[in-house]
Amino acid sequence: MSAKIYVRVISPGRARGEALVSRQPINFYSGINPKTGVVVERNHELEGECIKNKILVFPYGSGSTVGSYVIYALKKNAVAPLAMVNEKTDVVVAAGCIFALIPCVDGIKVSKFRSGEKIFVDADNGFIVKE
Amino acid sequence: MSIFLSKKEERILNGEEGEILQKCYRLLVQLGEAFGADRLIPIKSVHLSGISYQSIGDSGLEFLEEISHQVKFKVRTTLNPCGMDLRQWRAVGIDESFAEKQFRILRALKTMGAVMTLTCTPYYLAPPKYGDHLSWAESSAVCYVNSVLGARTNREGALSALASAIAGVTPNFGAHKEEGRKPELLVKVKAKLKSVSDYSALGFIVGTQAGNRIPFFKGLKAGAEEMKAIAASLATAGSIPMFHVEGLTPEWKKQKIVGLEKLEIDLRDIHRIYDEFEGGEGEAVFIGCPHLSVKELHELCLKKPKMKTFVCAARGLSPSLFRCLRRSGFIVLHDMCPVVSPLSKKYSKLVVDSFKAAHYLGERGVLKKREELVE
Repeated sequence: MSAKIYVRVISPGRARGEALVSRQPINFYSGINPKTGVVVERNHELEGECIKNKILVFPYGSGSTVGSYVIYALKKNAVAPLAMVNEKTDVVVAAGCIFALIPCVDGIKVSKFRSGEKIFVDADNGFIVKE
Repeated sequence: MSIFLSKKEERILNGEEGEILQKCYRLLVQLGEAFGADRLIPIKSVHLSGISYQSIGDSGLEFLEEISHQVKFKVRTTLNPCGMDLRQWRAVGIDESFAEKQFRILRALKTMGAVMTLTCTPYYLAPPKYGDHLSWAESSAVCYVNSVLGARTNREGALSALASAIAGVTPNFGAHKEEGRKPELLVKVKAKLKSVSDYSALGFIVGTQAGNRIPFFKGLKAGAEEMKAIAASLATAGSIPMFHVEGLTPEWKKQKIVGLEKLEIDLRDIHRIYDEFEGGEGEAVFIGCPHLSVKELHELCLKKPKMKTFVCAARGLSPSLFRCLRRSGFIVLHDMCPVVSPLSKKYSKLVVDSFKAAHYLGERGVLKKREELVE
């Protein structure tokens, strides 16, 4: 187990899982199917990937403010990520995560992660551990 | 990090004024703590996004119905477009089951006290004043009122704006404070822009490159409508609450631009983004992303459509101009946006003059300049 990486807490909670990393921002409204959790945005680097039960790592959310509802719908439809990790969380993603009770932290470069890595996110105490 | 709360706010947070108000405060306080707010501040108005059944689905509908009989909005709360024109939905082929669910969403919002504006340009109906604190969702309206009117709102999510409508307050951070309105990128515009669509193109290019940094434009000539086009595409491509334009926007003089990273945009960049969004011929045209102003409606009145053309603007903005447009052969729709409506799915290709609309239509969107769409 590697060292704790300290991060800022956006939405509390804890989660352990496999990272899914995007270097591009994510527009939840146009980019993710809320029923399946699959990334549908054309030419997005995660196009075709499913975010269900992943630790979703991306720089920040972009585009529509309806993204908050999409995050809530993902949770209701049981296809939400286990946690989100951002470089700088935006209000749309933050509100969606807080409301849907999805742990979310920020303040760390996306380039520190690779898809498939096992990560523990402790958004109660503000740290991440790579396992 | 901690946010100052009054005794009353603490009581609400402890659930003494009901569960829903408690949840709203919890969301706003957590947001405030995450983003370093010092306190909650009262707001003049809220503008909600996430009104179309197509956007929020059953989970959103059920949630709104559940809370609608338990709370009322504390401040003026306007609504973004929904998925259909409330009077002409049958005529444009919206099916009964969609309409039924859309009406349920609207009834729930009306029960809580919403003003049924159903437009993405609520500032044309009641413009916020310079310095007003707001909690607005709808990224294009946020970017417009911050930049062009000097009002102050973060780019709220649909749910944080809803919480603010119920609570009447928003956490004081970001664009509510002077330091959250500072430019972080200097954009030199070396292209002569003509069409309103060129401004939309500029916003999309800069939004993609700026990411979440506030741009300061130099060398840009633009009227209010052109700045609306920039606001819409800037906020679509990026996560940007506002922009400044030298000589034009109300706060540009206050800003320091020395040492900022520079970005130059020339005509080749503009041509390149048009090429990227080129999609052949369309089956129908949609003009009105964002919803049109009186000036734009007036200009359009002097033209005729070349093919089936939908025009969208806020109901009540100018009934005489709407009549004029209908006489010219345009199909004028209110209350809705084709992008969040099943209407757009009836066409395999829809021609638009806005990069925001083209982005959200995806493969069904074809971009052309507004001038090419009418004669």
